[in-house]
Amino acid sequence: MKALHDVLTQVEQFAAEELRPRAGEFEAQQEIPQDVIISLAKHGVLGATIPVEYGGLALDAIDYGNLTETVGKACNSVRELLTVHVSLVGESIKRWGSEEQKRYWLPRMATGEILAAFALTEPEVGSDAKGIGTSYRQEGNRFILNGRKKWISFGGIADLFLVFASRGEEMTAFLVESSMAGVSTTKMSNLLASSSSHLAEIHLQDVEVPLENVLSRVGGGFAYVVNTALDHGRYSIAWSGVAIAQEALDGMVTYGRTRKQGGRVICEYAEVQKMIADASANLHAARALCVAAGLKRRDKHPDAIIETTIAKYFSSKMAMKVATDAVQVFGGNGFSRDYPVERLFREAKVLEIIEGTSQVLQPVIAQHALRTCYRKGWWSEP
Amino acid sequence: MVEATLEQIVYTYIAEHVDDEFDYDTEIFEEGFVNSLFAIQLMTFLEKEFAIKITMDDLDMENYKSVNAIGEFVRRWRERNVR
Ligand SMILES: Cc1cc2nc3c(=O)[nH]c(=O)nc-3n(C[C@H](O)[C@H](O)[C@H](O)COP(=O)(O)OP(=O)(O)OC[C@H]3O[C@@H](n4cnc5c(N)ncnc54)[C@H](O)[C@@H]3O)c2cc1C
Repeated sequence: MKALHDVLTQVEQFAAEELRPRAGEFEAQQEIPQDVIISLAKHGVLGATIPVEYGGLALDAIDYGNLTETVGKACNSVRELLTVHVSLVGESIKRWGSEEQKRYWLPRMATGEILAAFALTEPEVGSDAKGIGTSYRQEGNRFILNGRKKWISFGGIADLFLVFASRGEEMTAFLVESSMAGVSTTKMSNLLASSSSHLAEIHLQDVEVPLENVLSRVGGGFAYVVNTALDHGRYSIAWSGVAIAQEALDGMVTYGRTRKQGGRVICEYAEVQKMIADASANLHAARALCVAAGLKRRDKHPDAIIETTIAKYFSSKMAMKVATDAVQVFGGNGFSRDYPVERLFREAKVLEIIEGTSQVLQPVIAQHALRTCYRKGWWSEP
Repeated sequence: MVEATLEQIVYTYIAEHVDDEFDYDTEIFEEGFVNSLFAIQLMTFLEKEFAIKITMDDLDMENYKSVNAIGEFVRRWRERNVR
């Protein structure tokens, strides 16, 4: 195996040479070209956290966070592939897959032979994931799935879908292959951003899934798989916020130091400096939260889940704010596709929506604070 | 000093996450004391605290329903894996 440092350096170079200059073009063409996916696989990115014995790089949480930032800074849609393929599906199989499932799927995912997507959301069900309508029934050793999934990143090109379906109160996770009879997809377009993320609807019509394709156990779809997957997804999104904000700040500073108005470069104006200072301080704070969550994850600390939730919540809002200010610093040029900040501005928004909207995460964070910060008898009532 | 029993350790950890009174037999998930996200957190805690590895075969919710159930589960796991 290549030394980890070499891998990360090579990915950085690849991102700088092949992703950043082409990110706008991918969006315009509404696809990530095959050559890019092949290169990602060659660099080991598609098997980033998959254990070495299954052909992956076995990156720990901190290294994976750094990798996510490197890729996300250069191209948000390629980063989305990492989020769904590695964080949502790869980590779920790694955690809850049987040995046979791990041996079958993970090496293929690491080489990019198989691309994976995460299929939870439906046209009528998003935040309230427990209420999904995609259904299954059991017939002997097979399950028959029916329903519709929407907003599935890379659904248009994935070979494997981690599909969640319900039977009454019970929810189960299934490894559904796109080649199975009854599976079809419809590309989604006219989106604010993520046009190259191959978003699709997935239609499941009497799809027969064998028992060995159940991930974890029948009925364990929500408590185990959804919760594990979204926890990993939130960690990925937290770093994605750092990525977008860093890229936006780099843009803000570079533009601010070169654009002249009133005989001065605009970064000399206090009002512009305020935006740069706020962006820089908030970015540092978000990165610190991501690193703190990463260390807890690496240490398998039970608080890793809440720390990750806080990092995702803060970082996604922070990215939106920094990207908004970046557009402001660019003035009219911030509106133009000739400059990258308008794309960052559009891309930042989705971070506040996916893997738990900000509104859905707020009570989770509040509950944690209400429990841990209560000091009985701190003062006596007058 | 008497060493805390397995159940005491588990109880103390869960109590940090629950406001209401409960005992070793209270079904913490069933009675809504904690939400399902806590299941993953609890498993992480058990793995770290008692040096066990929860796999797919251990996913029966019965194993985690109460402090006593968790205590029994951890002991069974250890016995199974010592051999
Ligand atoms: C670009 C993109 C990529 C995506 N990729 C995937 C993917 O790969 N796989 C997948 O399964 N899904 C994916 N999604 C779907 C995404 O996870 C959902 O959009 C998200 O969970 C929100 O659900 P919703 O859109 O149905 O909004 P709703 O749940 O209808 O929410 C609408 C509004 O109501 C608020 N709200 C809802 N419930 C509550 C509540 N309980 N308390 C307070 N406020 C509430 C929300 O915060 C939001 O502001 C993607 C979405 C986008 C935009």
